[in-house]
Amino acid sequence: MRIDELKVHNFRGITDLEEQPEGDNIGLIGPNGSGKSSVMDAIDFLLTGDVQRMTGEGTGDLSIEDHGPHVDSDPEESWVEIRFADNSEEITLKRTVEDNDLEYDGDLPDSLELLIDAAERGQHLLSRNEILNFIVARKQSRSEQLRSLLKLSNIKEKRLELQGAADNLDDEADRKEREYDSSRNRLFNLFEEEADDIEEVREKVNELRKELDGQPLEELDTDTPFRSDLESPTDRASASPIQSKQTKELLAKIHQWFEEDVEQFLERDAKLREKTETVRSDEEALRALDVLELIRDGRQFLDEEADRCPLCLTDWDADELEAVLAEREEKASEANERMEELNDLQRDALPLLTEVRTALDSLKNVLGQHEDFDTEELEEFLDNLETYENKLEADVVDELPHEDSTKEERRQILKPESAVEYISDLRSRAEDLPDLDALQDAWDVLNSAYENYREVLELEDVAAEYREAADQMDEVQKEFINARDSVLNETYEAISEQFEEYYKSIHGEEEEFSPEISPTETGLDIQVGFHGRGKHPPHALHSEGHQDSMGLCLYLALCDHLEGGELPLIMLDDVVMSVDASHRRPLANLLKEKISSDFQILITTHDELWYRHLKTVGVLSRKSTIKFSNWSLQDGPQIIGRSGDEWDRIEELMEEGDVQAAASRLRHTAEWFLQEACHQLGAEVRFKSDSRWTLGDFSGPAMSRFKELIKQAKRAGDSWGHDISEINELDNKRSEVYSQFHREVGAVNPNVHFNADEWATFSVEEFRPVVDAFRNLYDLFWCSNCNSCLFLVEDGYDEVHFNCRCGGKANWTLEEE
Amino acid sequence: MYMTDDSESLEENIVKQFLSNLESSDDISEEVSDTLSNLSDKDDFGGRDQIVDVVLEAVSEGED
Repeated sequence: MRIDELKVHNFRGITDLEEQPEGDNIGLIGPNGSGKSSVMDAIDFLLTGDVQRMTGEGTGDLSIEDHGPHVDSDPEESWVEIRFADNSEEITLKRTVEDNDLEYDGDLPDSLELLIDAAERGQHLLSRNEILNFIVARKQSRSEQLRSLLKLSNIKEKRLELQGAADNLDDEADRKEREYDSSRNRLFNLFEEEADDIEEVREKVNELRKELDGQPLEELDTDTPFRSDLESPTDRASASPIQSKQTKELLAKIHQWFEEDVEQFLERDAKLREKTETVRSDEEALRALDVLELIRDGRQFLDEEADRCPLCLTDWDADELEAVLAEREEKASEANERMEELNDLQRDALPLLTEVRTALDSLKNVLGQHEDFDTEELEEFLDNLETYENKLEADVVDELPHEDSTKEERRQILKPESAVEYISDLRSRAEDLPDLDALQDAWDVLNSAYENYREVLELEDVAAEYREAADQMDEVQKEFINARDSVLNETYEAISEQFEEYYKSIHGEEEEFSPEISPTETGLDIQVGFHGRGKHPPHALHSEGHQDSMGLCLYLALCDHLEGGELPLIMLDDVVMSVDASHRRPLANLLKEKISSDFQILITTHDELWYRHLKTVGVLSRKSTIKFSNWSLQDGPQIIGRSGDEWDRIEELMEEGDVQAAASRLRHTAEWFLQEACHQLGAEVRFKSDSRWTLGDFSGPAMSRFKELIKQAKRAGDSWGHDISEINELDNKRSEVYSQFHREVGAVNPNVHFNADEWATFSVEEFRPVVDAFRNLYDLFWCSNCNSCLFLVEDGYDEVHFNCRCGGKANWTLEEE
Repeated sequence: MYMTDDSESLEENIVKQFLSNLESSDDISEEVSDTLSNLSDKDDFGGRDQIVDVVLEAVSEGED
């Protein structure tokens, strides 16, 4: 679909604009600041709700709400409306600054969705900045630019996610393999001697099973615990309590009492008895000791000034009483010290007794649960020990345990022969039984080994699964890169070919251009040939003008691949600033022949000559071209004649009485059409290295050449016996026009340039013949029917025909019979 | 080998070429290929975490 009608109201400097390009390419022509960019902004706003120029770097404070409407306009009165149409349908899109919603009836056609999509990425518009991005930019930046243009951002994202997934799986597979190795090492190290492999683990498992009286396992199996069909050591311990570690420790403790501790105890017991006798021997001290606290309190209350007892009023001598009490306290203190020594001996002896007594008590409890053991002997021994201990804990000054017994008798009580034998017997029996701890260890190792073995197998499977997934993902992401490179290389190749074709159509075969576009690790590389001196980056050796045409050609080549080649509109914003004059015509031809058929092009330029080239080759038409002269705050852009016709504008200026402006415009118009005539007629123009040709450089050659061709056409027509009256008529006309032109041409420059003597000395009436002379010369060279300059047709070096595009004004052979 | 279709976008062509490569690869299982094909409509294949999950699942299914 193409733009059929464009309406802009109170938007970005435009008060009111209404154009009907009816699907033709659109030209926006005018000097800088005249308002042509506002039209592009309006289209941008309609498509995206934003203006690209207001969103770039350094535009932070700009917003559509504040800066979209024309000055003093309300946002609801600021809008853009475009009617798109093709052969079968039309749709009108409208967007107002106020609500910034795209309004339309029905469904949005696919091609407009693509256009909006492209516009949101800024791909519908090529400015010189973008050209520089293609050509001068670093590989990375260029790659990003092209990726965005070719809508490959998702491809990058897809590749990164596949790569990320492959990396994650690879990392996870590494982790699982480490976990597997670690678990396997733990399994191998579980045994007293490290196993080297799983088969050796089986052998060691069977060795442990044998210790537990089990049968060997033929093979290790996660469904068969390594302790299957084995009796646990705990069950065994229940059957024989003296096999347990705990019981053995009790027996060892009691045995140690018999062997060593009892003698140590008897030593301490003897000392205790000796000290007890000492304490008992000083009865006075003991009595004093009983009232020691009272003596100390009494001494505190003793009043040296009083001579009688405050309680019983008995007379006393205070000094005498104090002396008695001091003596008694001293004795009591001595007794107290001895008592403390006695207590220390008690505390020293008691733990040995308590230790063996509690061990016996525990043993009695363990054995008492089993009928196989008679604990009567133990119980009697235990009672004796308890009695001994209780008495030892009590006041030994009153009574010592077994007060009247001898040391030997006490030894018999503390180490009775029957108990010694009983314990000895139990210890012998316990030693004959297998070591319950070793069995428990074996039992535990088997359990750990089984759990470990299951974990090893599980981790082996998991690690293998992760590794398989990682390997496959690695292949997957490689295949994605292969697919991307394959399709992109094919595309880049096609773009390169198109790029080369377009570029050569502008610059000819003057150099070995042969561009190569190739993706690299870090971006996208472009190399182009330079006059047979190898390939280089575009900006390395080529001039700025060549770089501009390269950028434009590359963009145009890319356009075929944007949105699947379905992009309906491309906008070229002043993109030929540096393309030199000699290459503009072929560029215009390229746009006409290769691009216009596929896209509606919107072109802006401030260069009149460039516009005329575009118009001459048919890229732009007057009807679809908006020419801006200047811009005013009140009225916005000033548009030159709705038809865009230079002659109309000259007439307007004449009517306004602005002779100087009319003269200036007339000279530029003449420079353009005479240059065009030189080109079309094959006239020889004097070469100027600075390319700064003027009116006089073109007029002479164009007019001479035209005259020659008319003469040649007459001779050829005569030779064939054709009717040459039309040629004669044109030749006569030519003669008149030339005379008139030669008379008037000198009046142009004085009216253009300031000159104190001559400037503005012409009135409108005086200048009228000048305008008419130039217009007549234009009409002589141009066919009003097909709006083309008469042109020469060559066949190799032979000049064969002279005609206009439609053949209505001229259609004559130049070859004589 | 998938033949690129000029009427489709480059992205579509790349993804189709990719899926075609997966199908014909000896190193990539049918299950993984099918799984990624199901994710191909998403801009990012659903993100790396989802890719990891489904590929693991597909590898596991393949082993079963």
